[in-house]
Amino acid sequence: METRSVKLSSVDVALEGLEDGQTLIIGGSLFHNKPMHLVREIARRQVKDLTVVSVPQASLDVDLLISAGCVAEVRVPYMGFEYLGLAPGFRKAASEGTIRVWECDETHLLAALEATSRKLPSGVAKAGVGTDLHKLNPDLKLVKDHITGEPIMAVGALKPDLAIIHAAAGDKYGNLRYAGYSFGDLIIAEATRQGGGKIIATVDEVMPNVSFTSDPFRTDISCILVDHVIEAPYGAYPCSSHGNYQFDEAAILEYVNAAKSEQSMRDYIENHIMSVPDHEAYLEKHVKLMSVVAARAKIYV
Amino acid sequence: MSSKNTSVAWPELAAFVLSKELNDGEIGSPGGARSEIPLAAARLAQLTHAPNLMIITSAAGFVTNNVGRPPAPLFHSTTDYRNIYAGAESVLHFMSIFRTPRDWFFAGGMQVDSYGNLNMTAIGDVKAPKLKGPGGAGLSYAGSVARRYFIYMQQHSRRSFVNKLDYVTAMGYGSGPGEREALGLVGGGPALVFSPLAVMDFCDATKRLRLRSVHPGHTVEEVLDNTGAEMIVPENVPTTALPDNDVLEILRTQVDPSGVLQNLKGSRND
Repeated sequence: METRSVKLSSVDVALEGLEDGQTLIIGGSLFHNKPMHLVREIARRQVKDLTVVSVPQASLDVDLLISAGCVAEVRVPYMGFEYLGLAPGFRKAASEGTIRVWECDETHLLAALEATSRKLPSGVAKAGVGTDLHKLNPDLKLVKDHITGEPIMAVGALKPDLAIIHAAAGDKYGNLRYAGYSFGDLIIAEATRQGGGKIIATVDEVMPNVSFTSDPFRTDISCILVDHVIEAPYGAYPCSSHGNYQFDEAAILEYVNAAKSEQSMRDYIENHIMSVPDHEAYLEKHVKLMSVVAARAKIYV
Repeated sequence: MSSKNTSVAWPELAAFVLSKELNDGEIGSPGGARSEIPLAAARLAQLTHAPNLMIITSAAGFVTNNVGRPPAPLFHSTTDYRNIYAGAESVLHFMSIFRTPRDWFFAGGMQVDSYGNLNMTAIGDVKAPKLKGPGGAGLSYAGSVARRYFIYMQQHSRRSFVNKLDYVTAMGYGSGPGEREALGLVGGGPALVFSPLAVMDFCDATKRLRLRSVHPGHTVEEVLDNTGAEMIVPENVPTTALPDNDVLEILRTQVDPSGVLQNLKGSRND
């Protein structure tokens, strides 16, 4: 009998084919379910000119890639650190003109992804009508609805080359289960699959397949939508794995503070990315046992 | 707790003022960069006059009602997983967040103008901005579908209340009456603006910003000195009413037992 393919992969195998200029889409939102292990691995490979997409919100993930010099264009509806302030790398790069910003509303990016997932050339949204967004973003077009003539915003289908997402648990075939919210990861995986791209998931823990077959209703993303599974305990750190461990505010602020000078950001990137060969080394060097114990314990109130 | 209420912090006053705008039976989403404020407003409304009000924490889809439950901590972020403990009864699928009706949303902005249009894009030329904003988020979506929305500004200054936005990220009333209708924007537009100095609404006939009340300790002159946007100032402008002791107690013991609002860092005008 033939055996089924196992999708457990090393980072090197999973990131084969990563090239300058590709479109990378990142799952999670704000400080949650961000595949930070993979973000650091991509930054360490010094890939250039990426178009980085994330919806609805990005913070440390995209900002770190910008600060590491990997990004040419940002397509993120909300790029910031919410109650912790604005995104420092994004602000700097945008004001110096070293990145392009694809100005948009959440629903524009979602329409673009939904279009790809349904093999349509474009999508539409009502948001943006009456604003300047389409004057700033050539991919948005103010058009008339074909049926009623009402003004609406059209946006071309978006086809990511690579999607990276993080779930609390997965099995060796690529089935994924989240402990909390999965945010936009499903539509991200669907659009990437339908657009011909590759989907890589990191998981805090690989569980036996039987834990998925025993309750398939609790599988959030099917193995059909996943190409590679990488076991990375605390792989979202210092962001949260929603419902599994909280984000580490102090560690996120360490990045924000490092952005205060070019030298301190270079030091941060050297210290957290360039000098760290793999995830185990990162955990050993940068993650204190007590901080992840606290991040786990904080899940409960 | 002070019986004279003079120590009410502006974020607490914001939560109180905004809570009174929310009606029983409504569905809405607190949002914006200081989402503690609208989240507290909605929970306070549930516990005072709107027990059938349902909160959807937009970015994480938690549908919550806190009535009859033990106090839950107020967290800085509506996407924080721990909001699940504040009476979450169901969790919307991600795409359903964009398909579920709302009576109201909350919005913030770097700049607001006389017609409630908002800028979150950039201050200065977008190609080399003085300040790059976080982007449109879901403001334009929210403004296009919600029955109404509330704007809260963390700072009241001539730089944040302006006559002309550098960029329009979300449309309020455009350039006046009838513009939303002409564009087919079904939502009702902005209903109210809260700032650390004052409460403002919009004149029915002209859709122009109008001063509704000035917070205790501040004056109409001070508000005008700090407002770059044209604003209607009625002859009599009352002082913003403070919560009475009963409401303040609910706010401080049930909605925000750890005093997040009292200790909120960030811009203010005093």
